[in-house]
Amino acid sequence: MSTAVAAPAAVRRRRGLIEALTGTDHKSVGLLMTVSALVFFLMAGVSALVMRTELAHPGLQVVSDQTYNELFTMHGSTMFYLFAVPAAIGVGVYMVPLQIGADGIAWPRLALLGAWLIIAGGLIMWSGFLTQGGAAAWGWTAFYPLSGKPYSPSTGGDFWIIGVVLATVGAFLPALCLLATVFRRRAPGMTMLRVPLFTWSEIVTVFMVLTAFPVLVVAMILLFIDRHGISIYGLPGGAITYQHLFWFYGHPVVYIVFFPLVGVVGEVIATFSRRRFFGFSVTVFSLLLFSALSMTVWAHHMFTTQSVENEYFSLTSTLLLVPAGLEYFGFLATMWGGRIRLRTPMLFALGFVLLFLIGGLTGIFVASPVLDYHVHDSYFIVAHFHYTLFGGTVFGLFAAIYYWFPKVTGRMLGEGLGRLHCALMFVGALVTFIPMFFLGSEGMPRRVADYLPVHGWTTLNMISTAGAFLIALSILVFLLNVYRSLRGGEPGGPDPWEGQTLEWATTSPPPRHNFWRLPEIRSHTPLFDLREEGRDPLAEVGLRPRGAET
Amino acid sequence: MRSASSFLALWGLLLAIAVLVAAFIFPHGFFPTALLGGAAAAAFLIGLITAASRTGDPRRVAHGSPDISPATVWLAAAIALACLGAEVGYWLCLIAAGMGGVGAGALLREVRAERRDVRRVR
Repeated sequence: MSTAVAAPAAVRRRRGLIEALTGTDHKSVGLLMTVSALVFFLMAGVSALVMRTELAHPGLQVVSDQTYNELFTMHGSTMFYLFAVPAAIGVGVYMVPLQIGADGIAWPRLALLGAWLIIAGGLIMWSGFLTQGGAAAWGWTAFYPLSGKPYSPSTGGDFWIIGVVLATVGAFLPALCLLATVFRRRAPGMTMLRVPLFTWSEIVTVFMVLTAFPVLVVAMILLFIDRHGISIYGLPGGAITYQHLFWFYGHPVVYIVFFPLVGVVGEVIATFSRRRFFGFSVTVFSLLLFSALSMTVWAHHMFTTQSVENEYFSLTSTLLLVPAGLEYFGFLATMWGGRIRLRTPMLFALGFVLLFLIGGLTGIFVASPVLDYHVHDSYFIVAHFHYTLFGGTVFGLFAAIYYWFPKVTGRMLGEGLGRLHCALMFVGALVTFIPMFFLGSEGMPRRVADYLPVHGWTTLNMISTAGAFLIALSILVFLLNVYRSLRGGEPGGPDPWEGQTLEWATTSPPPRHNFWRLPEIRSHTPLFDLREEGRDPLAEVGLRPRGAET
Repeated sequence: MRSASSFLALWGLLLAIAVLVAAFIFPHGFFPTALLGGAAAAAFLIGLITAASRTGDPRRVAHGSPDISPATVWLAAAIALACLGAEVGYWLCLIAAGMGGVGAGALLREVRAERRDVRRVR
């Protein structure tokens, strides 16, 4: 039995730029957040290329040391505050209401306000380059006392703080809207344990956003006040206080940008293995455990300060293996015995699984204080977190883009270019970041603009730089693919992948009110249930005449 | 474990366990207890609020108002300029306050128009 949904009788449509920029429909807001995040991703990527060029050979002076410091600050800051977090939440703003059978998001104006605050924060942050002293040059962490006025007097630093506050508040607001939507707007029959995996991953993400983001906002406001004459972090113990406040946000945010993509990858793997996700309920509880545990590990970034209880934070950091292992088991068990289709979203999902594994396993090394003392602030750490963030977030995001592009635009992305993109990016990620493990073990510190030939790091740095350009090439292939698809790509239809969840039970792109009719919901995979019973899901929701399934 | 807020409460409970372990088995400093305790309390609080809040009809009423809100974007610009004014100068804060007033008024107008439309459809 399906549920008919009331459609608007008369809807005045204002398509085009105005709607794209000011639309309160969750699809419009989600798209605004995701596309703007991708633009910031490109900006951060260009800054990474300049940095890698600078490091390709000792003695190169592509940019000055000061500019290099500003570039790595803006690279890290942009990737976290302006790309990864907004993209992870933006995809949720678009997809979560569709997955739970809702006709919109709760408090849509608040979500739109958040999207624009992120963009405004990004513009203010980057406008630091236009100020006399240049942009902030203290890393994405802004550790005190380096970020204090005496050491970093530039106005660009203050712009950075304002930008971070706006972007963080901006991400907080749509996250709040998502939670209210899931709690209050689920379709009839959609109990919490029938909510799809991606939506669950967004729920636990929002739990973390609600508890971690306010702490960063407070830390940044205090830093701003400190820089304007009232000593706060300058008091005894202030620098450690800053680190506690920062890392209470700074570590969970790694998971905030990662969990939604775990959900995406889980759904992609299930869809392209033509099976339900293995151990769905266990995975949901492991996500809850994973997210709660990841709130308790922040001070492993502070092992070397000798101001924290290393045993406690080492224990909690190592315990993360348990829920992570459960999720990996779920991925593998879903594929086991499945009829796997190796289409582009699935390839990116597999790339995610493999690359994040490297990041996760090296995470065990640095969760141990004795090993962390050796590699702290070295390129080993840079390699580790790039495997979690690039391997996890970026590969997961591209899996999401290739998977949902037909739903959002109505057109398929090219399969050939998609495979080329995936292959180049996968090889690029290995070539760029594997050498960094060796560089770090050999003692190359992070955040240096140059090194001496006698260090013997030249070859590894050269390889790493070549890998970075390979990644850049893969992004160009992606942009070409998007351009070709939007110009005249193959129509995707409502359900090109034989999807399992509700977003595939509507037209592509979905109408303003999302659904014409909802199928009966008896599990987290309502469309899969219908197929199992030999029924055509699209016919059930009135998108295809009965008996017309091809 | 049927209601949505019970999952949030469970999450808060997991954090509370972590607080207890930090406080009693590995006592070291104020921050682990304070930050984790605060997070656990916040999770419980949000869970309680969502559990207590009215349920009502969750489905939006279809109406003819356009799904756009230029006033919200204007308000976002005002907030951003107000924050920037803290660094650039208070004159910018004053301009932002003016913009914010206009934006809030326009937002109110939008919301009222939408409510009027909803009443008409009902």
